[in-house]
Amino acid sequence: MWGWMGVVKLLSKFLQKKAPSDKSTSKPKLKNKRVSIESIKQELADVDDVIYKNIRTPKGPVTVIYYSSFVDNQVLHQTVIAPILRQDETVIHASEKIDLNDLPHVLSLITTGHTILFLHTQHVFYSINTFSAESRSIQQTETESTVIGPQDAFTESLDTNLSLIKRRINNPELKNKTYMVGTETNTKVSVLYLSNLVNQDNLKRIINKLEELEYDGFTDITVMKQFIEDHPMSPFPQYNSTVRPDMTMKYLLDGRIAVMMDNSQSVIICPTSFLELFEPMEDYYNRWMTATLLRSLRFFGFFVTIILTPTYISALTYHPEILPFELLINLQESRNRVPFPPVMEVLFIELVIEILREAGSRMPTKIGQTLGIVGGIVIGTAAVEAGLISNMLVVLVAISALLSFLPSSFLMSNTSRFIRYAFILAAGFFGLYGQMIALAWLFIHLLNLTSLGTPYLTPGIPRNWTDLLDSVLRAPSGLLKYRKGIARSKEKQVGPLNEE
Amino acid sequence: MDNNKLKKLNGYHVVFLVQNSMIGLGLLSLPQQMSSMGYSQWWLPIMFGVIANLSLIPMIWIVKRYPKDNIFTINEKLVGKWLGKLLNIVLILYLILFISSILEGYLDLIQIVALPDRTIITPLVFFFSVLLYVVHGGIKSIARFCIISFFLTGWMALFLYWPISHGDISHLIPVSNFTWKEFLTASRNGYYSMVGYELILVFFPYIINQQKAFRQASIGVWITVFFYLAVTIVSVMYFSEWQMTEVLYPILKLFQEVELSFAERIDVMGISLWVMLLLSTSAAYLWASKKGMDSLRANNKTYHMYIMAILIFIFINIPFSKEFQEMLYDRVFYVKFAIILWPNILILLHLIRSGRKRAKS
Amino acid sequence: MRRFVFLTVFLCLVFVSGCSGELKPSSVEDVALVNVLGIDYIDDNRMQLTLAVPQPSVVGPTQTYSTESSLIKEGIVAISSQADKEIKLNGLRIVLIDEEFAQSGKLWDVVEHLYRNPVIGGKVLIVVVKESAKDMLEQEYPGKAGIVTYLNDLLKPKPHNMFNPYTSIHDFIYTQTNPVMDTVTPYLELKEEKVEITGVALFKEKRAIGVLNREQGQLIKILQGAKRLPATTITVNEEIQTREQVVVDFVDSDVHFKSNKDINNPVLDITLKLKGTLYEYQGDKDLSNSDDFAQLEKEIRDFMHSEVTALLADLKEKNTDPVGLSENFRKYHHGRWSEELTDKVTQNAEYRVHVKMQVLATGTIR
Repeated sequence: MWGWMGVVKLLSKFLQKKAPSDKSTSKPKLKNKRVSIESIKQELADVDDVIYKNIRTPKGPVTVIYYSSFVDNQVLHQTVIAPILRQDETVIHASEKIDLNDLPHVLSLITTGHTILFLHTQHVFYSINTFSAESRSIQQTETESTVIGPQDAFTESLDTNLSLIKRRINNPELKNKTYMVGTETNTKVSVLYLSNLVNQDNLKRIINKLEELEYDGFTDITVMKQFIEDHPMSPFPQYNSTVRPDMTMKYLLDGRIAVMMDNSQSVIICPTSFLELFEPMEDYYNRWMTATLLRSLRFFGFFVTIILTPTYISALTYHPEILPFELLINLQESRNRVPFPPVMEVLFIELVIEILREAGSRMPTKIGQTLGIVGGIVIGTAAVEAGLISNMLVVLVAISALLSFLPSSFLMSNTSRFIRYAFILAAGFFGLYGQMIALAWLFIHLLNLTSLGTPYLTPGIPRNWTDLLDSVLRAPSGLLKYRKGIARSKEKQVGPLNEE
Repeated sequence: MDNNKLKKLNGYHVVFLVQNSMIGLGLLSLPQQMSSMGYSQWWLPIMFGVIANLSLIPMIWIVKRYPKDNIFTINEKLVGKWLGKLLNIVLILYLILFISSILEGYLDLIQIVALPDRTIITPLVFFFSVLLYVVHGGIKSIARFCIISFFLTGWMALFLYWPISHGDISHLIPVSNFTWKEFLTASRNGYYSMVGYELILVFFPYIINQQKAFRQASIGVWITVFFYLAVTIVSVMYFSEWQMTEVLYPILKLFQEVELSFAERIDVMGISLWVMLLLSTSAAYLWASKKGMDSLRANNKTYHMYIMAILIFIFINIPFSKEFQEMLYDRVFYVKFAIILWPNILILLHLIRSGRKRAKS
Repeated sequence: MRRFVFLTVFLCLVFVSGCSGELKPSSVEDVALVNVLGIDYIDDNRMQLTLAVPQPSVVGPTQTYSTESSLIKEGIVAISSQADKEIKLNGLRIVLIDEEFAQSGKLWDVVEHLYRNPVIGGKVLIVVVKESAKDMLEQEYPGKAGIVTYLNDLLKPKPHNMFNPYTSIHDFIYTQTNPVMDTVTPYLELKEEKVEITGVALFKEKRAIGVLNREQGQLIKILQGAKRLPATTITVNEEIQTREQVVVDFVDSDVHFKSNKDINNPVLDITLKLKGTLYEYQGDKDLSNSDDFAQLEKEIRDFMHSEVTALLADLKEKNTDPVGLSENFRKYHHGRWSEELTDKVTQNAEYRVHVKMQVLATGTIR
């Protein structure tokens, strides 16, 4: 028993703390060196896309240093080389003079796309931001698409993403603090919040978490998210993530905090509640009745999807009397040729569905995914005819697979896939009693979860009664007058932003 | 995070903690327990509610004088260290016995209704793993679970619609058709299902707004009374007097009356869902017994909880003879009675003590 | 630590699932879920037990098993040795009792046994059969999907079957143990490849004592407070020349009892409030004429009055009370109520029947 404790502790240690190292990007040996062409060359040896271009000007030679992969030739020519050749002093005035003792700074400037000018005669270094690497244009999202509402989505560029938010919230209260994460990659992370609304405790917590983060580098923000969640061992995502600027904006206005990372499309929003993972933005664009209907469908769909096939097992194995007898006869008929117990049958077909989904997601387009599901049904029919599974089960599994796609958060939909197996096994052991035990376990787990220190299951247990207006039910927009309790915002009531 | 603070229970937590530690196994057999009064039993829950509310007054009075102590430390302070510890041991034994009795009763029922030809051990192990999981989160986690389990099970009251439409309301009169002996037997047996609110003696120090605790606990008590009243009234309407005496778990029969096109036997589902109520009740009691252990050993250790759980587990699995067991669980009633009345004695001791102090100074 | 508990629970589930070879006792296709149980009288100690197990249509017709035994459990065990599957009573829906068995008074023991069995639901119907339950279950019914489906559909509540008391196990036990009431059950007859509900079987305490016809069954339902009743044919004026026939659909009925609370001199006022629409009318009256219409209403009223009075007299003679009329005296009585008191009340009671009839519409006929 305690052995497991040890393993868990080890795991969580591994997840949270890497070998301690100095937070600043500089390495000690660099500190002693002075900035010079030689030292730069020495540090950037074997980096073959660094270009050292010597230009002769009437005032003496100038060396231009830049990353060819980051700097477009035309941009370089227009902003740097042409003015220098024209002896246009503005380029020098517009650029930043570099402290000769700060070699690490120079290096980081070069690796982020700046161009360094070295005026040999005056022996000074200047830097100009010429970052002009190719980036993706703003496009529609495929993962969170809506029919109505804005269609733009975040890209992988932090600046673009910031601009997408800032053009929606034209307000100096919108702050974006930048942090560097990744001890090797030096990736920019931006924490966005409205300073007049945000809860300072929440802000402190997330900033602490970001500052304490010690890891080589994050391929995507979803990786980083798993490091800064309160309960990394839980199957549930505890922060919302989205690629939609309108959703980010909505939560910012609610007093939440958004975290963006350079080179990653999605944005994490914290704190968030369980229910909010079932609420896409489209709910607010629809009329409130439609939205309520769809939202309850999504929410209860989550529970149906984890309980449907287990109930099949319970009913067939332990409690045949709960089924109406007409249904029972049909079930007996279709079960007659199946040689396995219901648990095995369900596990088998659920695994087949998972395989199809997984294979489908590797197919090139979204159609591939649809094809996968249709294929599943075709395979299901064949399996029924072959006597491997009962046809009733194919219907149930297809329904529960479809239902598992309902949550707007893809991570939540994956969670429901996972949890279902726990319920299937529990039902296999103890029938309905096992299912209820598993349900109790699920709820206790959800109750114990926190998202940035706030209980995850609000408004199941509401912090404010007004939260219920925007929960499973979505009241008419005019009634949504208060910010969510989970945000613990400074201003409870939704009003004009700058009231003072 | 708010887990480290001492004060963590808000008003809702108190209401539902009180309410859910009362409703448990008792409700399943409540009408049968009170069947000696026949049809006139239906108003008994109201009387129970009044008694419970009255007995809450001394409880709250004494714990308010010691806002940072639970009943175990108050015992030690007022009765004396060694006598207090002895009392606490008795109290802990009672808690263990009580949890064992409800768990055993419930799992026997599960075995009969839902899982025939299975042993009780494995369902019990799973029950315990979930139980420990709740208690592990501390009193706040238990309180939250109480709220959730209230909403997960409370809606089952809607199933009473079918028995109501089948029953005969004229059974409710005459109201006073009983003898004193019948009345006393019914109250004694029925009050079994009311206990649970005395746990406020243990979790009182954790309440944020201690001034309002009495009102909140009373609301909890009356929610329970409402459910008890609904069940007894419907049972009186639906059953004949013979059935009320003979049917051990009337709620199962009430559930069997439900007619839904997609499910034939709601009782199996209902009895399985009852595990939520059992979990919340036994979690509150287990936590209380853990606190008792803490005060005995004068330190706060997580493994005390495991010790208690193991003791309960062993106790359930000791094959006592049926008579001995019934005798034991029957005697537990007097301990319960004593615990409910105990705060009065504590008040007396408190007054004597403070009187002496005043005389000294 | 929470993670630890979460992990243990999860890993337990995962690892123990490895043992799933013995996970499963028996699944639904391995059990024979008895749907109809037939009980016939042999002698005072023995009965003929017949079980009908529905089968999927691809497998074959309904299976029936039959054995002689003195106890239900014993019979099930005996039958299990002939059956290819495990016999389970979990899915029991209907219990057929032959008339002789019902008259013998042993029915109570059988039903109580079923009532105490936790796997059997409370909605199992108790039905009395005229001759033999075994014959009814083993008979072939051409054009019907097997006896089990046939019986289940036949005994489903339908608008035209509302005379049927639908006595479930619970109702049976309830009426048997409630001193103010006696039991009624549906009464089936086997008629050449057809089963017909011909009336209701009437019990006095534990024994069946007679059969009432459908009309009387319907009146009992009205007195018990049923709201909606099927269309009834009412013949007013028996003489050939002025003979009139009306089909009335009682859309709403209501019954009120008012007792004088005196069990020594019991008087019970029974007020029937009926609302109905005319379906069909054969006769000389002009229904658009309000006088004629009022006359017809009065005639229907008188007809109902005489029917109810006759039924109550009949029940008094048989000394049985399926309506529970003495409940109106019990609820004012202090002390234990008993069968004797019920008998005393029903034997001495004076019933004053008042009928209020309102014809709401004349339907599509003038």
